Amino acid sequence: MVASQSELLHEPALSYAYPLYRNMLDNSIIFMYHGPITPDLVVDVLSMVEYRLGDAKEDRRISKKLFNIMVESFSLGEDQRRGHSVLIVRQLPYLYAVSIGRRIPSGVVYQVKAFLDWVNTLSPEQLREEYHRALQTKEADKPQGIGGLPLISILDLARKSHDVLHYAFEYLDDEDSFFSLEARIQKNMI
Amino acid sequence: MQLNNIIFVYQGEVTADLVSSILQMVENKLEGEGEDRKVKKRVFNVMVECLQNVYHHLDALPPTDPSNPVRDKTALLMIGREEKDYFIITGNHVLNDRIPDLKARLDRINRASKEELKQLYQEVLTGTGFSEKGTAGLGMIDIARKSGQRLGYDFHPVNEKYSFFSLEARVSRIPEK
Amino acid sequence: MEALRIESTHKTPRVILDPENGIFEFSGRSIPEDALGFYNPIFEWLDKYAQQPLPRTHVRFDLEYFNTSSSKNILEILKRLEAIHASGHEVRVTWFYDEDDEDMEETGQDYQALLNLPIELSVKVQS
Repeated sequence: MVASQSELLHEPALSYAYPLYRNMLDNSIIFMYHGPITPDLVVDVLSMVEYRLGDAKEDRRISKKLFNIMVESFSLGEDQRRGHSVLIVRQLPYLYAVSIGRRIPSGVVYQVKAFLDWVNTLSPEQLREEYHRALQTKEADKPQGIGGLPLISILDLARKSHDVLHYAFEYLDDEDSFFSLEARIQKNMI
Repeated sequence: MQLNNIIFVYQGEVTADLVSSILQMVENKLEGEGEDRKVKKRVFNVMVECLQNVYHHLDALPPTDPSNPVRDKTALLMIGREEKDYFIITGNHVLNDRIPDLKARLDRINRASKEELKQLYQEVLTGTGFSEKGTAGLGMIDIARKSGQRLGYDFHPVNEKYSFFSLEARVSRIPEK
Repeated sequence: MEALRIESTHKTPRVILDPENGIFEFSGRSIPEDALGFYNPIFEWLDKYAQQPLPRTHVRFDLEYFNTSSSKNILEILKRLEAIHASGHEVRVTWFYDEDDEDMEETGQDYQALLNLPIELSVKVQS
């Protein structure tokens, strides 16, 4: 049987449906999104997750926390007009995790890593102080900090999650690297 | 894996509220990106039918079965965009003994011309086509009619009793005249 | 002076700044496309109000969720209110938070710590 051109075109997406499903199941990923992160999208993702939590009869304190963390994670996405970011939400019996993935300039990778490592050493009191400091710096909402990442959002996430921030960098080319940041909510810590 | 073209993927239980919130998200997303109104409408309609179809398959599964690879009635929903098409992929577990029948139906749908699909649809609706469980095939015929393209499918063996059934519907981004 | 009224959307809060009764209200969500664009008219309005404030102003914040770029703008609003308060025109702020939302409560505490302004935290009990 000779496959026609159109049949071949049908191949790719379908062929990874099962591996993708398995991967999501194994990693407890309930949702992945790829594209520009606009406020409208944020609202829609929140409402989708809200139903999911409602179906799971999740504790309201945990739900609120997850929402607050999602809202802030989303502000770490690439510039919404031209950028494409990746969002991942994971749901496990004992934790939720929200990840944001995006490109950052390869030249700032070490700086970002150093900042995250430093944030992860801070006590809750120190985090509060640093957050207050960042809140009071001028230039109201321009993404300042390193490589287009608003550092105040990272501080805010560290504070809200009561856990260390998990991160990964992947080198793409001399210009860009892929950066992902996961904030977790351990249910027994809330 | 070529994930570049994927817009979103959902894995989990599909309840009515969840489905409506996912549809809302897709609608807003297409709206926000200024997709052609007709294309938007077709993507939406095809998605609704695909989700309906998933329900149908999940309902046909035995409620409690230790050999079911997943405890709950979970499914995969994926939507993506390529240069010429949107693609909507749903995935769910089916019993292996359902596969020959499903395959036969899908192949028959894919062989049919536009006119024949319409006929087939009416036959199934009136209970003369697709021998048993009349409306089971209706959803897939409807998806094929609304998509205007052939359906892609795949059965991935999971264990001696179950396979993972993925169904792909495409919607052209080039609006019809 | 005209009141400023902004209706809420699913991403921006409802804003009511009523200079007749000295009652200001911010309620809903704040994740605007352009935070400065949204908050600037509010700053301008407050700067005008600061020239002739009422002896008493009561400000209610009843927010569902917001991001840090909104937090900065809310701080700017509160700073303006702080200045009015310091000039001898009483300003009272009530910061409402859902009893299950520890982050919103903490944000209220942040503002208490950062400002010289009476901010009362008030819990909303879920029905």
